[in-house]
Amino acid sequence: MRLELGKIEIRDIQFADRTYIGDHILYVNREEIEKLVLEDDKLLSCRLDIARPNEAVRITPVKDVIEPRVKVSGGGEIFPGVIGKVSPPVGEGRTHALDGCCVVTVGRIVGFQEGIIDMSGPAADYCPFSKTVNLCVVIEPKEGLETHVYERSGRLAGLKVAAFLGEAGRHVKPDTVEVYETKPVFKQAAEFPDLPKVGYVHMLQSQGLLHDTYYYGVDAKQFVPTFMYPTEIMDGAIVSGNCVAPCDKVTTYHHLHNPVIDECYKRHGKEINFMGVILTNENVFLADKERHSDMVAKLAEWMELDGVLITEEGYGNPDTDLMMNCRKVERKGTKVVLITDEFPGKDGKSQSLADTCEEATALASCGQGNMTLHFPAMEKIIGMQDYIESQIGGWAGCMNEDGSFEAEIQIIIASTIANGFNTLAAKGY
Amino acid sequence: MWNIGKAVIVTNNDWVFEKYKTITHVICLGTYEEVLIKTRDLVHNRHHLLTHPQASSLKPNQTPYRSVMVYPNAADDTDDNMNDIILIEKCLEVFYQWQEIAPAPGKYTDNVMRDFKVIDASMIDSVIPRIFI
Amino acid sequence: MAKYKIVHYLNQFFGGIGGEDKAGCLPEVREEAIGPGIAIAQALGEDYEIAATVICGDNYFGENLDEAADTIVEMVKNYRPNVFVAGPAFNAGRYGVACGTICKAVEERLGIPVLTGMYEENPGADMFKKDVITVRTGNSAASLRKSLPNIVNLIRKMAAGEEILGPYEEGYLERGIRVNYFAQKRGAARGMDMLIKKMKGEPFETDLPMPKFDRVPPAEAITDMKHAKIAVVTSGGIVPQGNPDHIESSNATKYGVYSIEGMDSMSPEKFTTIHGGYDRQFVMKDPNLVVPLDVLREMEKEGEFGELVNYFCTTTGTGTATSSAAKFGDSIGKKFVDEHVDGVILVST
Repeated sequence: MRLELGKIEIRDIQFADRTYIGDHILYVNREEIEKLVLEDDKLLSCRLDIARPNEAVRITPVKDVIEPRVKVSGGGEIFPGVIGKVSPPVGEGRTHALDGCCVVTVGRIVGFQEGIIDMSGPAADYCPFSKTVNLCVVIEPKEGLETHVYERSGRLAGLKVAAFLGEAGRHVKPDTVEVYETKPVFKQAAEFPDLPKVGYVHMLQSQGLLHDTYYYGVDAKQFVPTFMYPTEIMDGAIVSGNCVAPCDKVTTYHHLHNPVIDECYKRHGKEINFMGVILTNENVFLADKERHSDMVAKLAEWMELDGVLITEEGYGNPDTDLMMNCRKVERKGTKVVLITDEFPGKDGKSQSLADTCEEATALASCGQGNMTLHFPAMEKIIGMQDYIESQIGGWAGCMNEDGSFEAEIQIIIASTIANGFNTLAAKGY
Repeated sequence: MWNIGKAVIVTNNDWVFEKYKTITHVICLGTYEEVLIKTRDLVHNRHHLLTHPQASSLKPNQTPYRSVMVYPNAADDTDDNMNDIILIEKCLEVFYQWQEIAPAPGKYTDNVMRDFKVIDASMIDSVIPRIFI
Repeated sequence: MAKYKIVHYLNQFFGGIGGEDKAGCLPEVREEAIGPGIAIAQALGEDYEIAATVICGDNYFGENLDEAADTIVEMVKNYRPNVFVAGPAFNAGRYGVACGTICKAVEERLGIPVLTGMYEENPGADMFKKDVITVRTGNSAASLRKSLPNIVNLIRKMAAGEEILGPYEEGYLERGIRVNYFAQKRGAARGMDMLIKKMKGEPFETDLPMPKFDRVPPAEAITDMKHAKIAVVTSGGIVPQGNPDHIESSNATKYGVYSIEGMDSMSPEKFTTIHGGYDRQFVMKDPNLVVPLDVLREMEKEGEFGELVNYFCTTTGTGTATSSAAKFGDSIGKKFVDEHVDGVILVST
C-alpha cells in the first residue's frame, strides 16, 4: 500500500459563520458543529471552546484527542467502520491532515480515568497537546445514562467532529506531502534484501468495557492477531475507545501519529527494511493471552523478521501480554525491543512493571508516571475541575482553594504514553 | 474445553455476585486483598487462573473492586499450573507494594464507586462468552 | 579550624584493633583519623577534619544490631558532624551490613548526610544501596585509591549540600530509584537505535534492567511416599550447642551437617540457633520449630514415609549472598543424589 500524506499547516482556529481553511487558519462554524454533535439524542448539551499554546488554560476531564483528516483519493473513508464506510479498506491514495490542530473531547465519563491538558505552565512540558491548537468539544450526557453508552456517544462525537473538520482540507493544497509505502510481503522482502527485516508489534488496549480500542469498527478484544499495512493506521483504521490512566492513554491522535511507525519509515531503506505491523490485543482472559502471543510469534516467524519493536497500552494486565510477546518472539529468533512507561511508586524505588521476563533485555523507557508536580491555578478552565481529587494521579486533599493542586504526572494526558511518542524517559539513580 | 458451571469467580463486587451466582460458583468476599488471597489459595489447590488478577490497568490502590475467575484442573490433567502460581504471587506482591506506596482510599463518592463496579464487572462479562463455547 | 567535621566508622580490622579474633569488640571512639580515614582526610584537604573514628567489631555489631546502632548513634551525635562516612567495606560481608545499618540509622535519627562504599557483590550492598549512597569499590582494600576521588567528591557535595548527580556520574551503586528526565530523542527513536544494535550483535544499554532470574524447575512429584527417604535442610541457623563449625550468624560462608541419629526430637540442651535475623528466644527453647524432628519421627513411625535421613544440613539465610546460597545448594544437592534421598523439606525462617 502507498499513501501520500498531505499536511496542511494549521496555525490557529477561529470561530466564523462557515467552516473552511484560509491562510493556515481553520475557521469553524460553531452552530454547525454543535448541531452535528447533538444529532445524538443521548447528549444533552455541547459547548465549543478553543485552547491555544501558552494560554493560561486547563482542559479537563479529557476523553480523547483527534487530528482532523480527510481521505482525498485511493478509496475508503476516514475512521472506517466507525464514521466512514467499512469497505473498501483505507491506507492507499491520498489523505490530507490538518497539522497542528486537534479536536479534544471533554466531559466526565467515569470518575477517575480522564486527564488534564495544561496549555502553559510546568505540566505543559509533559503533554503533546499543549503544543497544538485545540478545538474543545465539551459534552454533557442526559441523566441516568449507562456509563458505556455515554462513552460511545463521547467517542463518536469527537470522531464525527474531526471527520467534519477534515473535510475542510479536502481541496486545500497541502504545505508538505510525505509518501509512505509498504509492499506485499515477498516484494517488500526483496526490495532491500541486505537490510534487516523489522516489524512492529502493536498491542491494543482491549480489557473490557471502557478499555477498548476499535479496528475497522471491530472491538479489539474480539479479533485474533493480524497483519496491517502501516498506512491503514494513518487513515484512522484504529480509534481509541478507552478510559485508561490518562498518562498512558493512546489517543486516536497517537494512532494517526504512531511514533514507532514514523520511526520505522524514517529508517526504512537505510538501516532497516520495514515489513509492516502485527496487530494484537491485551485481553484479560489468560487463554487469549497465550493464544495471541503464540500467533504474534508465528506471524513474526512467517514474515522472517530479524527484529521487532513492541509497545503496550496500560499497566498490570498488559505487562503480562508484553512479556509473553517478548518471550515468544525472542524464542523464534527475532530480536525484541520493548517500549513502555514505568510505575515505581512515589519514592521511585519499587519495581516499575507488574510483570517481567528475562528475555526483556532491551527496553526504552517512556518515563515514570508517579512523579508529582505542582499544577498552578489557571485563568480559564475548559470543562471542570470537580473531579481532580478522584482522577488518577490526584488524591483526596490534593486540591487547593485557589484552583492549584498537586498531582502525579499520571493525570496529564499522554505524559508517559508507552509507545515512545515523547522524549520523557526514566533512568536509575 | 471449559464448562461454565465449573468455573469459580472470586469477587468483592456485589454486581458480579448477583449477575453470575446462578450460572456458576461465585465466592463473594469483603476486600480486594481477600479476593487475591482466596484466589492464591485456589491456585495453590489445583486451579488454573482464567483471568488476569490485575485486569483493567487500574493500579491496585485505585480500584476497591476485584474479580478473578479460576477453573479447577481436571483430575487427569498433568499440566502443571506453575505459571498461574507465579502470576498470582506476583500480583499479591504488586498489591502490597502499592498499598505501601499509598493505601487505597477507603471511600469514594457513590458514582465513582459505581463506575469502579461497572469496570470490574465488564472484565468478567467479556470472558463469559469465551467460556460458553 | 576546619570548616566541616566528619565522623568515620571502621570495623576492628581497618580500625587496627585486630583480625577475626577481635571481631567481638565493643564500639569505641578515637578522636583521630585511622587507616583509610587518613587517606580520606588527606584527599579532602584542610577544610575538612575527621573529628572522630568509631570502631566496632563485626561480630559484636552483627549479633547486637539494635544495641550497637544505639550506642554508635549516640557517639556520633556528640561530635555534630556534617557528614558521616562508614567503611568502605569492599567485599567484607558482615562489615558491609554494619556500614549499611549504621549509615541508615545515623541518617534517620540524626538527619546527617551519610556515605559508605562497597564492592557491588557485598551482601550489604544489596540490602542498603536503596537507602544509603554506596560508592562502588573493588573487592579488596587495594582498590581504595581508585574509589577515593568519588568518596571525597561526594563528601564535599554532602557537606556543602550540593546536588548529587546520577550513579554513573558520581560513581555510586545504583539505588534503583527511577528518576524522570527529558532525553535527546523520543522513546521510539531510542528503541529503534537499541534494536539496530541488538540485531547487529553490538552492545546496547537498556533503560530498565530486568531483575535477575534464577528459577529452578520443580522436581517430579514423589509417587511412592511410603518408601521415600526424606531429609531436612534449613537456613534457620540451627546448630549443636557451641556452634562447632563457627557458622556465621549472618552472611554465612558455610553450612553444617549434623547428626540426628537416635533422637526423637531436637532437644534445647543439644541444639540452639545462631541466626542473626530473627527473635531467637522461642527457637532456643524448642529447636523443633525449625527442624521439626519431633513430628517427622512420629510420621516415620506411623509409616507416612519411608525413612528420615539421619542428619540435617543447616546454615543462616540472613544477609547471605545468593552466590553462596547457590553454592551450598549445589553441594547439598549432590550429597543427596549420591545418597538416594527422594525428598527434602526446606525450612526457612
